[in-house]
Amino acid sequence: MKIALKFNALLLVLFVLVLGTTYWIARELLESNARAGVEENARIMMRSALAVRSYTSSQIEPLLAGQMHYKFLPQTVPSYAATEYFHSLAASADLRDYAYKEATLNPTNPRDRAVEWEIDVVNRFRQHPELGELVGERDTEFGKSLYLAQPLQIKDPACLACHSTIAAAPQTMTEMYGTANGFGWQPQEIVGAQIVSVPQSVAIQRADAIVTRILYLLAGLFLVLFIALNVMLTLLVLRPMKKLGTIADQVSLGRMDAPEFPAHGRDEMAALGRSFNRMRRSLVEAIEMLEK
Amino acid sequence: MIHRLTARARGLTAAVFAGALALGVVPAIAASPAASAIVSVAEGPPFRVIRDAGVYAASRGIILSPGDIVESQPASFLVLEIKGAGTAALVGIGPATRAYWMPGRDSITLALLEGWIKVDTGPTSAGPEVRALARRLGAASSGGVYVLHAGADGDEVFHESGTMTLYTLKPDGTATAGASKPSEFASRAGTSGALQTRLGPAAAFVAGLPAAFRDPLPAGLSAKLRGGAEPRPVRQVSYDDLAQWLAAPRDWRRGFIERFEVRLEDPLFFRAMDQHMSAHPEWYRILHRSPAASAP
Repeated sequence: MKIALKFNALLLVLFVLVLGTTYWIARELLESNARAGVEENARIMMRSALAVRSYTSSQIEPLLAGQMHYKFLPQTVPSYAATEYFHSLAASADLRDYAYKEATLNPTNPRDRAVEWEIDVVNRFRQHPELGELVGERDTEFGKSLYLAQPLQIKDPACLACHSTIAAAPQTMTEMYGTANGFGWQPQEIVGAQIVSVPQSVAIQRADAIVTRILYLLAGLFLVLFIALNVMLTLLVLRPMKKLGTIADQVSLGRMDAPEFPAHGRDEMAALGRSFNRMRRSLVEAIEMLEK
Repeated sequence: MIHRLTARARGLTAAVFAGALALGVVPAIAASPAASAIVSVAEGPPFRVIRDAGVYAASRGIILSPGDIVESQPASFLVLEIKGAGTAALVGIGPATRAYWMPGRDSITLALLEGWIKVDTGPTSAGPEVRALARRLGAASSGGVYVLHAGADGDEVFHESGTMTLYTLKPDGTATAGASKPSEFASRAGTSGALQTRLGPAAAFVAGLPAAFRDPLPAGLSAKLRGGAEPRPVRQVSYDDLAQWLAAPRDWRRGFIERFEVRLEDPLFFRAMDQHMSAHPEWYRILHRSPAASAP
C-alpha cells in the first residue's frame, strides 16, 4: 500500500475519533448549560411570582379593603394576582409554553385545582415537609418541560380568614365562589404547590444546533487540513522520493549519465539527496577504477 | 290684633334680615360650639344649603351647623368632617341626597329624606356618635362605619364595620333601637314593612351604591383648606323647596314653624301652605289665627 494511502487512512481514522469525541463532549456541555439556563429562568419566574404576591398583599389589598365589603375582588388575593400576571405573560406566542400555577388540592377557585402530576408533587411536599423545592422534567405536548415547585404552606393566620370555615369567610367571597371548595385548611398545612413550568425543548434544540454547527466547522477544518497535509506530503516527501527512486533505477541499470538528484536546502530530503549523490559518485569512481 | 302686629314685626324683621343677607352685610351664622362640620370634599356641581329661611349655593370649605339642610345634585359627592369631643367623624353625602342636621338633639342626628349617606366615626368608640335616620330605618355609631339609603319604596342600612345600633322608625319619627353586627344588611320596604336582615349587602343595594362609598371616606382633607368659604345666598325658600320636608315625620319637623313662619309674608308661599295643609296640619293655627276660620 502506498505511503499516501496509509497516511490518509490513518489521518481519516484520527479525524473521525476527534470529531466523535468533540461531538460527545460538546453536546454534554451545551445541553447541560441549556438545562442550567432553563432552570435559571424557572427560578426567576418563581421569584417574580413571589414578588407579585408580596406586592399584592402589602399594597393592593389594603387599598381595596373597603370595597371588599361590597364586592369580593379576587385582585386582592396574592395567588390570583400571581397567576393572572403569568397568564398575561403566556398570552404572547413565544411564551405560551411557560406556565405558573398554584396547584392546590382543595382550592377556592377551581382553576387552581391540582391535576395528576401536580398532586404527586404536592403529596411529595406533604410527606416530606423538609423539602423546600423540587425540580423535575416531564413530557408535554410541546416537548420536554422543566418544572420548579415550592410548597404552599399556611404560615400566616390571615389566610384562614377565607379558608377555615364557611361561617368565618366573607359573605361576598362565598357569593362569588360558592361554599363547596376551599375550606377546612389548617395552620401549617401544605395545601398545594407553586409550580413554574419552563419549556426545555427549545433550549436543548438550540444547544444541539450549536453542536451540529461546531461539527460542521470541525469537519471543514479537517478537510482543509487533510488537503493541505496531502499537498505538503506530496511536494515535500513523495515527489522527491519518486525522483530519487527514478535516478537510482537509472544508475542501477548502468546509465551513469543520469542527472544528479537536486539536493537543495537543509531538510532531511536534501540530506538524503546529497548522500545519494555522494554514493553515486563513489560508485562511478569505483567502476572506473575497476575498468582501469 | 297683637298677633297681627307681632306677625307684621316679625315679617319686617325678616325682610330687613333677608335684605341684609342678600347684601352680604349679615354674615353667615357661626357654627355651634358644640359641633360643626366642614365640607372637605365637594365633587360635581355646587350643592345647596337651606339655612334658616334662605337657600344658599355652597361649595367646598363651608362650615355647616345644626339646622342646616344639605341637598346635593346628581353626580355629586360630598364629605363632611364633623368635629366633636376632640375627634372627627366623616359623613359622606351621595348624589341626589337631601339631609337635615337636626338641631337640639343629644347626638349629631341627620334626617335623610332621600339619597345616600355614609357615616364613618372611626375605629374606636372615642368619636362623636352620629345618628342617621330615614323614614323607616336608621343607624347610629360612635366607632364604626355604615351606609344608609333612603329610597322611594324602602330604606336600607349596611353595617360595614365596627359597632352600630340599628333603628326601626315609626311613622311619627320615633325609633326603636336594635343590635347589629358587622356586615349585616337591613332593609324595610313600604310604609310599615317588616324588617329584613341578612349577612352581606343585597345585590341591588351594591348596584345603586355610589362608587365613592365603596372606598373609605377620605379623612383629614379639611387641613388643606385655607379658610372657611361662605355660602352664596340665592333666594328665600319657596314652598317647593320645603314641600317634602314639611311632609316628613313629625319628629323631624320640630322647630319648622318658628323657622319658616317668616315666609308666610310671601303670598305664594302662604297660598301653597294653605292648599297642602293636610300634609302639615300643625301649621293651621299659624295660617288661620282668627278663631272664625274653620278647621280642615
